[in-house]
Amino acid sequence: MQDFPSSKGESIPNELNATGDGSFSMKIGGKNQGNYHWLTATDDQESRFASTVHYFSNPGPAPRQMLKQSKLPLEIKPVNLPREHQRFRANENWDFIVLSQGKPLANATVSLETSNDTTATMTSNASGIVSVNFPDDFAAFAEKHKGHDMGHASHGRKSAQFALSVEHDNQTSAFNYKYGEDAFTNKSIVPAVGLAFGGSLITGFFLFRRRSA
Amino acid sequence: MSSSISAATLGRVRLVVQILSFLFLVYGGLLVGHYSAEKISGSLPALSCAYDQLNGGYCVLIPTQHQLHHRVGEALVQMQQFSYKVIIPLLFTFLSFYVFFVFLNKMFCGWICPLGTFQEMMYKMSHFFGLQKNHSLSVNQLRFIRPIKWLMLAILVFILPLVAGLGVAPHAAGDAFCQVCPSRVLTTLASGNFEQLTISTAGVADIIFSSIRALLFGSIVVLSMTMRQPFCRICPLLAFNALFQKLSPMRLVKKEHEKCEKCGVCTKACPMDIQEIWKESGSKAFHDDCTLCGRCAEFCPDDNVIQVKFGPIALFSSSREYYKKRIKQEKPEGIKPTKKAKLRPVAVEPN
Repeated sequence: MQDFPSSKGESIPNELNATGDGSFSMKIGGKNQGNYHWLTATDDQESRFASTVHYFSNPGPAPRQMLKQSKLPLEIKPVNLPREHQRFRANENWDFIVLSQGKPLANATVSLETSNDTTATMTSNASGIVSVNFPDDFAAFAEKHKGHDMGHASHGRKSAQFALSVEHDNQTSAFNYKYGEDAFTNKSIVPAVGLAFGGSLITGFFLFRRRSA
Repeated sequence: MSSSISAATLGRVRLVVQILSFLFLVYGGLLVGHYSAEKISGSLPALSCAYDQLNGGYCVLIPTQHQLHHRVGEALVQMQQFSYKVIIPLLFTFLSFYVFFVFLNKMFCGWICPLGTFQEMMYKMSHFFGLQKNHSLSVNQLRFIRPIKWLMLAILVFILPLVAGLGVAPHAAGDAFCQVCPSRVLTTLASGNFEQLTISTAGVADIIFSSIRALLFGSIVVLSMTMRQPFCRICPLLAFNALFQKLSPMRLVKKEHEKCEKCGVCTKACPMDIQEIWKESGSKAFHDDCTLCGRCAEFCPDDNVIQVKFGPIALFSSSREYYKKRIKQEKPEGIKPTKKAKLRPVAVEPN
């Protein structure tokens, strides 16, 4: 177990020691050092890069600075990370930026792969931005894998892994994280509006009776 | 300051503050960017919701419930891990809350809370459309209603999150008050997000909580058309703020006055129907239910009887002159005065 360094919103490179099987663990220490932390892995030839973030629910600085800082020669990263209570969700658009040597990379082909078997490709615009619409692929995947363990559901909401990757100048970089189901999965507006309307009618009825009395 | 406020009337100054606060707390994320709460506070003494995508979730009740759920409750399960470190984040939350609270006290309720502003606007609008009938609550009704906010605070904010952390109550109870909070629906709806006005079928507890939330929201909308500040009367944040109200130099002060017994206009002006501001004086007049809106001071017809003070400085004092001006704009009950019939000009015979 290794103490994770204080970031104060800025990325301070710190090497984490992996065990023989490539795994490692980390913890945060001190107050106000939670929130998002950035993790990268680089191969020996420094041509393949992988990034992800880990969210600690303890209070910590917002990840604005962390996201602004360039950390790799070629990188793809989210413009904003979801706040606490939020997550990347199916059917939502989130912007990611592709950078080469810290500069936006236009017309780069970005590939999306999800653990729910979806694949897609997108192209970055002149500012290096690619807008990713997360696929609503949970139901189809569940149907396809009926009877199998569907993995962990956090706070009663399912999530799946995704990887966004980009290749440029013999280098490959990927951002890996997770996304959740559509915001309205297991939620219905109509009965809620009905109940709100019912609540107003009942209240109105009692008020009317009170006035009459 | 008293004279400058008098020129615009305290009520109008408050209205401007309320509108600006509403806009900032609902749409502030658009102005200051993602993670806006980090720039302001995550422990503000006003109901402002974490469920809005851009707004940061400023309300102190959110971290209070989370820390009781995920830290204190879960640490109690593993008693060996329970130490002062578990309590420290909760203390920091209260400290961050107090940094703001010490200056404005419960003005956060009467001047800043978006749900309070919404209810007040609904009340004014209903009068505009001729729907409004002023339902003040009687002393007996108040006796029944007043403890509800304390029960809400104890059960929904403190006990259920703690019990959820212990693993006894379902996860949804971990933020039990947020689950039913009408401000959660209001502020997200105001930002064009319908997600909170839904029934969640993820579990039995989710169905129950989301149904209560929808029913409560509907009731509050209708109630606020006929009654002033219906939700504030049972709001656990008002109770939470009341716990600290004596720890701020901002306060309401009332002196004894011989005319008070036969008057009672201050209670009529009070949106919370507080009788104590009329019948008591000294610290008892600054009641738990007071939102420091200042209406009692505005509508008190005698000089310096009711004051809003910050330490020794009187920010606003009641005065006969101000009262005469104010009563022309609005009745103490919060409705527009009925127009008097115009007098015909009378021709005066020259001598």
